Amino acid sequence: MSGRSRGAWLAVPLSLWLLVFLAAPLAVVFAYSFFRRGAYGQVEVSFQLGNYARVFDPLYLGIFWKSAQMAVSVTAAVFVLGLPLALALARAPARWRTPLMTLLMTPFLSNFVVRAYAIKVLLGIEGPVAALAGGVSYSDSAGAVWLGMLTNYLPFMVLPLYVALERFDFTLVEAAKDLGASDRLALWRVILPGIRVGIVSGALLVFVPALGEFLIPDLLGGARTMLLGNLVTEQFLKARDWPFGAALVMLLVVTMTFCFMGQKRLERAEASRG
Amino acid sequence: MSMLEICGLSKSFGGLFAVEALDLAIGEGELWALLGPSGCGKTTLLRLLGGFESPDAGEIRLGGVRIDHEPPNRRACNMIFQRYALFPHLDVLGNVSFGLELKKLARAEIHRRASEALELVELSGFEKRKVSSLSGGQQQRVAIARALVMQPRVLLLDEPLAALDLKLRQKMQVELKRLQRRLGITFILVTHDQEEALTLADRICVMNAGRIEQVGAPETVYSWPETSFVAGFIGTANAFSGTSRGAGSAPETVAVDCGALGVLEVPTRVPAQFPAGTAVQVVLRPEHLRLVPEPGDLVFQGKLTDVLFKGAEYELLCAPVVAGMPAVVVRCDRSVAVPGAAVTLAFAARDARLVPRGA
Amino acid sequence: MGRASRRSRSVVIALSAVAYLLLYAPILTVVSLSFASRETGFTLEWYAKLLQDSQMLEALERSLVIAALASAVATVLGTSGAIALERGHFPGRRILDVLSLLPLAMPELVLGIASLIWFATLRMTLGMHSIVLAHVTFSVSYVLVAVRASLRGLDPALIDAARDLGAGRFAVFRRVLLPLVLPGILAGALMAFTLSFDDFLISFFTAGVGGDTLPMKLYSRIRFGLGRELYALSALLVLLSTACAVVVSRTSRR
Repeated sequence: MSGRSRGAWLAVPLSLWLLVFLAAPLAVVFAYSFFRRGAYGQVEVSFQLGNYARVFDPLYLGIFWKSAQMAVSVTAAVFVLGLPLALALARAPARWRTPLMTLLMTPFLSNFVVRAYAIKVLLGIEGPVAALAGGVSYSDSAGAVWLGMLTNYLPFMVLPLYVALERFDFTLVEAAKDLGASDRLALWRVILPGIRVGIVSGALLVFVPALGEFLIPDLLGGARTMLLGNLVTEQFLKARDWPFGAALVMLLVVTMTFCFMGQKRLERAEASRG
Repeated sequence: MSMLEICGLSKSFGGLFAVEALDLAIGEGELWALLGPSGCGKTTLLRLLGGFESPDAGEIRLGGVRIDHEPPNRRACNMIFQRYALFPHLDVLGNVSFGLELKKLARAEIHRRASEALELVELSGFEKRKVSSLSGGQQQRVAIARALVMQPRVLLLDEPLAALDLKLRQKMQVELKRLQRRLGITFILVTHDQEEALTLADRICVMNAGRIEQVGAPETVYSWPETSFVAGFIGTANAFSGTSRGAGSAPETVAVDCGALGVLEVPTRVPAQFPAGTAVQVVLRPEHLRLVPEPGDLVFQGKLTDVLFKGAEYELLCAPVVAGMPAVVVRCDRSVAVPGAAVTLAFAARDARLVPRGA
Repeated sequence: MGRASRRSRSVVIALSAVAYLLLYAPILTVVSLSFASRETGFTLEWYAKLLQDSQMLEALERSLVIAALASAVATVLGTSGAIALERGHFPGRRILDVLSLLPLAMPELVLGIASLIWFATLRMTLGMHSIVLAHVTFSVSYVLVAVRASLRGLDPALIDAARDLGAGRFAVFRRVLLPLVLPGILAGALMAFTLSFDDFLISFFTAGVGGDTLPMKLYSRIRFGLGRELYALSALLVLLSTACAVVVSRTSRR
């Protein structure tokens, strides 16, 4: 009745697809990171660690560090802003929930380029900010990049938080208050620890993609801001150094893997606690 | 030959037996209750009968034919699920017609039989209603109609009344019994409520820890328990420990040495089960204990600790004066004493029953 | 509710309002500017200009076709995969579980570049087909999430009941499983379509020469600072996503 190996055939199409179009490409990137760039920009197959040595060059490491800083700061800001929103959504009476959710999903489902462009306009010459600030455009700066990432990644934090809060037993908060806790204490000591897994999910869904963000620094950063995403793209477009680009991508992949392993460990600890 | 036979049926999950070597014979047109505490295996047995689990060992025969490895869609049984499992995307008529449509019957025939079934459960006119708009009791009736329309030989009910409140439950108990009488098919009902089992069933199968403790008519299971578990699970039981001294002077009695209470002649239907030296328990129902002794009674002293009002009667909890004896429960139709008072307790030995100790 | 509680509630609501404002301020700016004209104040000329822009219309058509194809394939793969992952037992299930959620959490950059290198290794010419292949890969995760959520909400007793009433495996699938999971499938398909239509970075790497999608066209126009019609285009795209958001919220949440 409970089939052993049941459903295996249903999994085949998906598995094949992911193997061919996800796993294989990633493996090839890994291989490329060891290749060498030839004199005319072609790729020479070899095994050398020169690309990785370059990655640890202070110039490039600095870019990675700057991107990481930006990603961390955006993640923190997105959390601070996203938590009240998720709370409001989770505690909203049923008839408010769908419209509020729609309001949240609209920017999420809207065109990424449009959204980045909209920030550019908002902060730019023709936008209201310039009108208020005496005609100065803020749109080509690190600040603009930061703001752009914040608005873009907000839904990615709010959704996991919302899911976790919806499942959260709020009678625990009532019990804490009954024992004398203030609202702030209840939030800090009862709610946040309770949704720890959701917070980590949201943080990773923001931090990891933000680390490799290309479009926002490209459109909003002006000439000065170069982050990891721009650096990598450059290798594939202008500099034509695919092996080096691949090595940089591997750097991202390794960071990503560490983050997920950490998350898995946290989830396992949470589950065993029961 | 019984209609439904179970021989040596066993099923374990993860190395633990849910049911172990069960033997049972169920006749045509009987209303059976599988009764026991959580985890006793009654639901597993029901699911084995319905085909939702495969036995590890043993056989199930319906009308002489083995069905234990048949899938549920090929058995002549139908199940009423605990939370009804009505299809939310179909209306009432759609739910009731579901099984008939699978049989590819003619549209008119399906409609006729479905309407008949709805009439049987007094839900005519509800055909177009959405399942979510029905009350618990109505949903249950749709579930019953949906199963009965398939004309099963055995109807399996998984704690059908558990989700209903008391008044509705009492009403449905009567309705279920009437329905079974009217249809004449075998009902097998799982419940953990012993009162429900006593009310509804023609035969009760008491289960504990994967095994059958006792099978019998409600009166028999209540008045002549065969194990201390059954005695304690069905109704309330006062139990005194004792040792058998062999057959009593009267036929079908055993002499039991109860320590401070002395030697009692306790009636039993199986005196051979209690040779001299056997450790036994003397079981006494609360309604057989009195505060005013009658001639021939065994009398002992106690102290009244609590008086509980139960509506139709009072329950008095008394601590016997003699050390080593458990507290007893007495049923009485008025409150004659105050907690703390000393009371006289009396009973007739012929009202006591005997079960093995430690079983 | 005490005064302190009421205050906390207002703080939460205020901060939420700020968050929503932050999300919508840029969009509202663009939408209002799309109707703005230097002289008269309100105009539809940018929308008119937009409709005459053949390059844009071509890119729009291309994006729609890609999105339709990618969403169709992703829905089929994602639905079958979701059923297998939620209800099946087979070796390698856990690995598939992790692998299938990877595109969700991965930076688009990684997938875009990996696809580019892979296609180059296979000596595949780049064009619409390569974009579709890459789009399917990342949108399949979203379909999986939506369909799995729907499946998880399904009462297993319903399957038992269907079998009890005589349904074989195929009848169970067709008459019980599929109708109840359909909302999740539709939500997933819609998300896949929208995400493919909106995607920039992955298309950027896998498009090759020439075949620009709408977001790519938008990007190059922005870079070269041309045309107020961009405001109009942006406003229309926002309208489109609002409609999608309404449908997705309605079907997948409840």
